[in-house]
Amino acid sequence: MKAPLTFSLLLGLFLSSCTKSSRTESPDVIATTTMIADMVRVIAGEDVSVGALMRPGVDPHLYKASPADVSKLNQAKVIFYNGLLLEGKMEDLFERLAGDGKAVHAVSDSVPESRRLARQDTEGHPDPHIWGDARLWASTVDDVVAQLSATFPDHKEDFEGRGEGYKVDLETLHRWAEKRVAEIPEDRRKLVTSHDAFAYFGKACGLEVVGVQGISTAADPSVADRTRMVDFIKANGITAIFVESSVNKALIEQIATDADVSVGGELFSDAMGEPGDVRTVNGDSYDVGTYIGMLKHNVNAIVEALR
Amino acid sequence: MTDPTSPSQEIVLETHDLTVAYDKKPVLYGIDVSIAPGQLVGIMGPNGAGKSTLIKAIMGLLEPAGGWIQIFGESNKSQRKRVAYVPQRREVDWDFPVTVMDVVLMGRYGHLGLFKRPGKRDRDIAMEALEKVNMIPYAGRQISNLSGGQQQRVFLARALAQESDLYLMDEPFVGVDAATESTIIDLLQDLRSQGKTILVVHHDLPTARQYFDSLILLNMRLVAYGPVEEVFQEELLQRAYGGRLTILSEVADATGEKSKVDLSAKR
Amino acid sequence: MTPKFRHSPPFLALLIFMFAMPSEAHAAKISELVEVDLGDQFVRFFSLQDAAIRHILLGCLFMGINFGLLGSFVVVRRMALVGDTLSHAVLPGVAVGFLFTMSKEPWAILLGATMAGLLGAATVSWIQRSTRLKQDAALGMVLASFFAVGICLIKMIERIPSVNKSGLDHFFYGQAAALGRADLWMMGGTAVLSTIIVVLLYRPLLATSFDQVFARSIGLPERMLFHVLMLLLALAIVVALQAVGALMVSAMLITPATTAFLLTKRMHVMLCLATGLAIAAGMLGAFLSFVGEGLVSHALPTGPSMALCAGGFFLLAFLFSPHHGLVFRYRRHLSQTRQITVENTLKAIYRAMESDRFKEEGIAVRRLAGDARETFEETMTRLRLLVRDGLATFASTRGEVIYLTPEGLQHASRVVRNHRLWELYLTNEADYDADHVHADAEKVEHILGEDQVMELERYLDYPEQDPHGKRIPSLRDTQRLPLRDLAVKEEEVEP
Repeated sequence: MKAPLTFSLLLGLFLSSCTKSSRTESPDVIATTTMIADMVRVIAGEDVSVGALMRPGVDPHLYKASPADVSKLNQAKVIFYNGLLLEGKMEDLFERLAGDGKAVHAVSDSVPESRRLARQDTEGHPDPHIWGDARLWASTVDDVVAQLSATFPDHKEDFEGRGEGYKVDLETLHRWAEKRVAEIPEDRRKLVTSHDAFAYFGKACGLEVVGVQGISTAADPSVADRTRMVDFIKANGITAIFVESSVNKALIEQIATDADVSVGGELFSDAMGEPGDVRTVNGDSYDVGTYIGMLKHNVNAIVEALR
Repeated sequence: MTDPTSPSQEIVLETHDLTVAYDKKPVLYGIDVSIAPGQLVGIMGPNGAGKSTLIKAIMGLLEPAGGWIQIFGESNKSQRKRVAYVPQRREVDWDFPVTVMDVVLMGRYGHLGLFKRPGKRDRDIAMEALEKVNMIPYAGRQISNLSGGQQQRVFLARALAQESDLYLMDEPFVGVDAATESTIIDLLQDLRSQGKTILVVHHDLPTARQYFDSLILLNMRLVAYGPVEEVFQEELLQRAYGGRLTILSEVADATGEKSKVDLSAKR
Repeated sequence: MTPKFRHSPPFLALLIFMFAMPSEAHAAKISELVEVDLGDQFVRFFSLQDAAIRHILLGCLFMGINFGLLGSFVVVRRMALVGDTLSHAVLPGVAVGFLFTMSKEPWAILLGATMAGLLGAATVSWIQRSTRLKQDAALGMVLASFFAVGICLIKMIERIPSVNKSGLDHFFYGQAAALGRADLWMMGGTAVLSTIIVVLLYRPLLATSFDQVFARSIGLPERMLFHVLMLLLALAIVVALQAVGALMVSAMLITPATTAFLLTKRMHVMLCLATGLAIAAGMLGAFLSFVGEGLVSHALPTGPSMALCAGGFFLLAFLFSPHHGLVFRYRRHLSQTRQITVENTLKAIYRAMESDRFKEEGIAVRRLAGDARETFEETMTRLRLLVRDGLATFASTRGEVIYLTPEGLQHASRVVRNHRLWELYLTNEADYDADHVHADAEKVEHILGEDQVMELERYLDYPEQDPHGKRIPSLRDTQRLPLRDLAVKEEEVEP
C-alpha cells in the first residue's frame, strides 16, 4: 500500500531534480529558512515572487546547497539569509554571491550587538536563533523593507505599509506569548528540548531553556549528556520535555523514558510546519506554516504541557 | 578398457564417455575407465592433461559436460562416505588456528553429519591414522610448524580417518622428503592389500613403474589404461607426453581463449 | 550542583531595562549547566544507576558477542574486507527501509539494511564468478557503489517535506547516546542467534572455513554454511550501526578477531578471546567517552573511542604477545646475538691458544684484536661479556691478557667441537669443498644440540681431525680439561 507511494515519490523527486525547473520560474527573491521566507512574503505580498530554499522540517545547521539551489540563488535578485552561522554550511556560498555583486542580506545584521546572546562554546559566535523573540524579529522588518525597496522601488510604499502592519502583528503576538507563559507556575517555567535553539524565545517569554545539544546540531550528543539531562530533569521536577520537528527525536524520547516524564509535544525550532496545516487551540486558529502560527503553536504546546 | 585381472569383482569406479570442461574449454574428452577393487592406480600425463580435473570430477566437485561416473554402481555424489579425497597441498591456508589432531578429526565429519560431536571411537580412529603416518608426536602442534612432508602426511591421515574404500590423491609426492615418500607408498600398499582402491595423480615416470599396479595415461583423452607393464611402452608414452598431439588439442585451442596446452614432455 | 537562574517578574520597565543591558544567558546546553567531575563520572559509570549506562554496556555485550564470533570466522577465512564492504553496502537498505514506512521504524530499517547487505554480498560473488575480477576489486566496487546509492537516497529523503527524517545520517557515526530498549532487543536477538548457530554448527563451520574443497568432498553443505555466515554478519552489522555507526563497524568487527589471532593457535580459544576483547573494547570505549569529558572538557565520541580501544588492544598484543610479540622477539634476538658473540669469542681464544699449542695460559688482548681485525676497545667489549658470564678473567696485574676459566675452556672446546664435526660432515657426506665449509659451520655450530652432535660424531665414526687437519676436541675434552692434557694431545696429533 505504501510502496507505490514511495516509488512515485522517488520518481517524482528524481524527475524534478533532473529536468530544468521550467514549470515554475525561478523566484526573484530567495530566502533560506522558512521563517525568513514567511516574513518576506508578508512584506512583498503579490508584488514580487518569493521562494524558500529549505522546506519545512529541514535542519538549517546541516543544510548543504544543491546545484539546483545554487542555480536558483544565481537567478534571484535579492537573497535573504539568517546569518550568525545558522546556515553553517553555506557561508562560503553567500560570500561568493555577495562578491559577485548580488544583493545578499543577512537578517541578523539588523540585530545590534547588545541584543545578541553570546554563547560560551562556539568561540564567540552569538546564538543565531533570533526569530525566537517576536519583538526582536520585528526589529528586523525595517531592513528587509529597505532592501526590497532598493531592488523594487516601484512597490516601496506597499512594502512599507505591509511592513508596519506586520510589526504590529508581531508585537501583539509577543504580548500574547508573555501572558500565556505566565499561566505556568513560576517554578515550572523550564523548557527542555533537543538543542539549544530557544534562548531568545526563552528570554522573551520568561522561560529557562536547556537543550541536550548546543546551538548547532552538528555535534553529536554523548552518553554523558543523556545522564546529565536526566539528572537535571529530576532535580528540577520537570514534568514534560519536548522534541523538535527538524531534529532526531530518538534521544529526547529516550531521555523521557529514563527520567519518567512525558514528551509534551513537538516544537518548531529551526523550521516551521507545513503551509496549510491549520491548528486550533482555545478557539484560536493559525497556520503553522507561518511564523506567527509557528510561535503560537510552540507557546501553546509548552504551556499546555507544563501548566 | 576393463581391467582384465579381476573380471568378476565389483567395479569400484566406472566412467563412460566422461567429458569435463573448464571455463568453456574442454579439458577431458570421452574418458572410459573401469576399475576393480584392490588396485593402486597411477594417473599420469603432462601438464594440463586433465589429471586433477579427472579426480575432481570423480569426487563430484566438477560437473561433467558429458558422460557419467559411477562409484560402486551408484552416482558419485551418493557415495561420498566411501570416497576420500586428498587435494593438492597448496590449496590450504597453513596459518589457520588448528592443530594436527583437529585436521585429522575432520576426516570423521563426513560420518558425523552436521550436529553430532566426535566421540571416543572417532578420536581413536584419528589417533590410529596419525600413527600409520608416524605423526603421533605432532598431534598437538599447530599446522604451520610442519615441513612439507609432514603436512602431506597430515592430509593422508585425514583421508585414512575417513575409513573409505576409494582414495583419490592429487600429487601427494610433490615436495616431500624421501622418508615421507616411502612412508606414504608403504601406507598405500598396505591399503591396497586390505582391498581398498587408490587413484594417485603422479608426476614422476620412473617411480610410477615401481609404485603402481596399473596406470591411466591421460592427455585430455585416455591414451591408455592397464597394468603398468603394458602401459609403460614407448609408443604410448610418446603419445601421452611427446610433441604436439592431434586435432584434439588444436580444437581445444580454438575453442578456448586461454593459452595453448603445453604438451612437450621434459623427461 | 546546578546554578539556577531566576527570571524577575515581567514589568515593562524592567523588561526594557533588561533589554538595554548586555544580555545574560537564560539558556544553555546541558553540558554547560551541569559540571562534570571526573571522580563522580567514574563512580557513576560503575554504579550502573543510569539507564543510559546500562543500555550502552548491554549494547557492548551484545555487539561484542556478535563481532567476536563472526569476526573470527571472517578473519580466518581471509574475508576481512567483506566486513567493511557490508557495513557500507547496508546504507541504501536503511534508506529504503525508511521510505517504506515513512518513519524510522526499527524493524523496517533492519529488514531493508539486511537485504541490502545480502544483495551486496551476492553482487560481490556474482562479479567474481562472471568476470576476471578478483575479490578485492569486486569488494571495492560494491562498497563504493552501494554506499554512493545510499548517500543519494538519504539526501533525497532529506528533501521530502513534512516527514521527520532527521537523524538518518546518524547511521554514519552512530548515536550511542540514544540506545533504547528496541535497539537492545534487536542486538540481543542477533547475539543469541549468532551464539546458537556458532555453537551448534561449530565443527562444520570450522571444516568449511579451513578447507572448502575437502568439506565439499565429504558432503558438507559448504555453500549453505557460507550464506548462513553472511546472513548473520549482515544482521550483526545492521544492529550495530546505531551504536557505533557504519564507519566504525568494520573496525569493531575485525580488530578484536585479529588481536585474538595473534594470541592463540586454537580456533575455539580464538573465538572466546575475540568475543572477550570485543566486549572489553566496547565497554572501555564507552567508559572513556563518558568519563573523558572530565579530562579533556570535550565529549569523546563513543564509536571512535571503542574502535581506538580495540586498536589499543591489538597494539598491546602485537608488542607483548608471549611468542610472537615484537618486544619478546626482539629480546630473544638480542640474547641470541649475545650468545653467538660469546661463543665466537671463546672460539677465537681457543684457536689462539691452540696455535700456541696450549703452552701459554693467557692470550694477549692485542693479539686477539689483531686476529679479528678490530680495535682494542671492541675486543675488550666482547671479552667483558665473557668475564660477566664467568667464562674468562683478566689477570689482575696485567689487564691486557685474558685467561679462560675452567668453565670457559669447557664451553670453548664444545663450540670448537661442534664446528669441526660439522665441517667434517659437510666435506665427507655432502661433498662440500674444504674451503667452503667454514662459513656454513660458523652459522650452524651455535644451534647444534648435544644429541645432534653426538649423532654426528657417531655417524662420522669418532674422528679425530677436521678437514683442515686440526684436532677435534672429544666429548671428554669438553667435560674437564686441564690445559696440560690438551698440550700433550697436541703433541700426539702433530703429523
